[in-house]
Amino acid sequence: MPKTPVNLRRRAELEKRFQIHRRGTWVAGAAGLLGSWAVACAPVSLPDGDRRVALRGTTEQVILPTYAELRSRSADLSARLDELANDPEATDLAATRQAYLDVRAPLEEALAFGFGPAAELHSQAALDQSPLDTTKVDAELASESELTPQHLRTLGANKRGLHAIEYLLFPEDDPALEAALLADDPAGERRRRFASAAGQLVADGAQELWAAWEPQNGGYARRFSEPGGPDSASASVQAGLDTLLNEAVVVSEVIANVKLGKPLGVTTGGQVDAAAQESERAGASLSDMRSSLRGIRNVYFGAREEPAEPSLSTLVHAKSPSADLHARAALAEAEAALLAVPEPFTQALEESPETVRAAYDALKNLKRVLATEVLSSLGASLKFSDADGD
Amino acid sequence: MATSAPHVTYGQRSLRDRLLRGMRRMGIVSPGASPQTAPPLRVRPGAAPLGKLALSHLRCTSARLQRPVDVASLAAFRVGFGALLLVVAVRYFAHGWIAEYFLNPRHFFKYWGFAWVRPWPGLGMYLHLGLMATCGLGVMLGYRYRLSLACYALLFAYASLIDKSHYLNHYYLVLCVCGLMAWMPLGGAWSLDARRDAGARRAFVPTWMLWALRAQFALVYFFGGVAKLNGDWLLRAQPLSVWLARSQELPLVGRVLAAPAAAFAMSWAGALFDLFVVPLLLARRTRPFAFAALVLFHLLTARLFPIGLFPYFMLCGASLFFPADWPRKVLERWGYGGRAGETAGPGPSTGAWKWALSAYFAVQLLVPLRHWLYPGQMCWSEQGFRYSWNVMLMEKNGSVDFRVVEPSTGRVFQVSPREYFTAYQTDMMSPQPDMVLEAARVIAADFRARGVQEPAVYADAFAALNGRPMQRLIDPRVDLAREVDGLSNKTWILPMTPSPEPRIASLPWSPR
Repeated sequence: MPKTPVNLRRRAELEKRFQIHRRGTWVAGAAGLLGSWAVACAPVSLPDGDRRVALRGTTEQVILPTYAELRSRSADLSARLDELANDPEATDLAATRQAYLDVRAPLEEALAFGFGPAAELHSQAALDQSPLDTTKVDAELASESELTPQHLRTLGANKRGLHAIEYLLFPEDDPALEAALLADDPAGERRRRFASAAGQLVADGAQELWAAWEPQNGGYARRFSEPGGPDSASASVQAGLDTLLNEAVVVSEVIANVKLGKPLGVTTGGQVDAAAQESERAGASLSDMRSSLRGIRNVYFGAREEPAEPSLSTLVHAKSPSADLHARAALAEAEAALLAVPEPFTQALEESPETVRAAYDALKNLKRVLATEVLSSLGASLKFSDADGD
Repeated sequence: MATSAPHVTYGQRSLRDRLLRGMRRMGIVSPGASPQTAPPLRVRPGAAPLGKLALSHLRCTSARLQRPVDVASLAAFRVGFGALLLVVAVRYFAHGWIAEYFLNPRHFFKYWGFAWVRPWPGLGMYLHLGLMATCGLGVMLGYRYRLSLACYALLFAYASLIDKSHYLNHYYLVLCVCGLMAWMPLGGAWSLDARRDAGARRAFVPTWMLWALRAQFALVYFFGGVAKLNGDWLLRAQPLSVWLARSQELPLVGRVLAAPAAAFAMSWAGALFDLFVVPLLLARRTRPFAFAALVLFHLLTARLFPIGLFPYFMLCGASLFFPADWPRKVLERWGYGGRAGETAGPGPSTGAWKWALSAYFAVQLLVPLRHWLYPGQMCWSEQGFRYSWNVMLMEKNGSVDFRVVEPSTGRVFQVSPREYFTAYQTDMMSPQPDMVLEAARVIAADFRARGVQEPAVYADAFAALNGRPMQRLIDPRVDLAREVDGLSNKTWILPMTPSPEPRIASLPWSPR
């Protein structure tokens, strides 16, 4: 039946209305989507959540105080080594040695946050490269070069740093070494000058590291603890937490594999190699390890003394109480196992390797717990990455 | 009476009418198509009624799949897909992945039969990825379309086969789609090929081409949805409860995402979305809503999770579910309509496509189901996990150390995988048993080369799946150097045991 003009007109009107309506719906829908997207991506300030507070707290209560301590102790060591160079007879060598050991504690703790400036400045290598090339150091002492900080800076990292100072100051029970160091002759003078210049470089390095982190100078502390901003170190709070956790995993493995495993010979078929320890002359290998472990623990609990809240621990606990429990237990067991290794470490390797092995196993367990349960509970290493996809 | 009436029995004419009406609505056939122009539905005399219906249905479907359909939506898909192919290659340069993934590693995790695939030396991989980008651009612009696509597929397959640790579901999807598109003349419209060669122009392609690509994307959603029908996803909201908490600092929605209820809601919504979005996209009435939900879903996942280009590939694929002429209508509305210069025919089409396509999709349907052949939880053992569209299914982290034992001397060597593999490779390998096995074989080969006689390699491998406490993943008593990787069940993978309820206890704090 042919349509009447009235019907056609009405249909056209309806179609037009429908078309307008449909277009309007699409436009509104698209605008809504784009609007939501824009809002979701916009840098809107928010009240601080636990995770952001934990990140900031760890920065302020752990990282900055550790670097401040490293700076002040390095300056103290440098001053004592200057005194040794200028007036050896008036120097308290035992106090100088203690100053050396005091620097090592915050330096080893700082391994647990060896990212950002520490990585950019290669601070661990600059301050504490191991093993030391003692042959080259001896050659440098025997040469006629001027032993200034500027000259030492031109040498490789394995010919200066804390281990070079350790080489000149330790072992404590070596009268010949002490005599050579304090000798009133050109050779003794050069040893003291070398130690002083190395101490100056360590102090400079620690100062540089602190300056890079110092929040007042717009340093890395603010960029790290306030993620998501235009100049932030991390794109998100999660990325900052990921960095802390991943570093903790790496350091736990370093303690196990390098600091314990290598001297114990687990990588070489069981052949003990005491020379593979990092601070053998100063007898500080075990205290180094305990300090490194303390660094992990400080990061996990968000404080250097009593545990803070919120912290990584409380964040993990909120998602998985068992993961937090396992992590705390693994930390405590690792600490107990390291304390159970008798000093000095060289003797323990020979006489009670089972205690060293137990410490190795405890550190391995800590690494496993951190790398599996703790990372999983915070989603810290999604197995689909930006490279790229699910 | 219709000319085909003598061949139609058992109400098939009304069935065919309904099908044609539906296909007209969905844009599969031109609006002018009618029962009279459709091929006759012949029924063999004497066949059982149900068999007759099924047979005629099959023939009818086959005939319909050969009918011409507007090439416009497929051409638009080619442009979008080609642009994404280009971006895939460019991202390797932009992020420094060429050195990180192909040049820095000392060892690679190989796929079966592809151990010969290695990175090119020197600047070879840069040239390889550069050529890939060029081919992607060629696909997008339709310049020597088939050559560009085939080259891209080969180059991308080669790059993907170098190292198993870079396996991604959507890289596999890209290869599947490239494989299908290589048989389609999608350079016949809106392309440089069509501009420079009038003979290559075409306005229509056989319907099966559109449906093959639709089916490919539908499989991703469907099997992605099926994989989510498990206790972890639906009853424990894992791993979304962990992943969503990562985004709790997002403005407006962050706090909502961190709530446990949000993880449950999104888990269920995600499973339902994957299972039903394709049928809802196919139905005309629900399509706008389904598409809006799809856009929202993929943009949300792109924002919340670091999943690279996956959401954009799926958004591009979703455009195929609109009527085949949608880009032409959009252009007409903007005043750029017309098919000037395009040929009208669908081009030559033999019957071989039916068999090839049937075989291809039979494989595509069976491969994701193969994990049922293995005991235990798929996410734990990861047997049958790859190529199965198990998308965003688990938060699994592992830690593995190896012990190498020299039987003749009893010497034991502890080996960290980091001595052989990069951090990324180690992270990817640790929770995946077949990769742990491969790592063990690499280590055994190295120790043999270093003079250790018949080294036995044992793994201390632990993993934590979807918030559970860590457990041993691999039997530490099994010498992996003597195990063979294959399709059979890997008995050395330890089963996942039920995790005990967590005990909350306070541990003494040791003062500094």
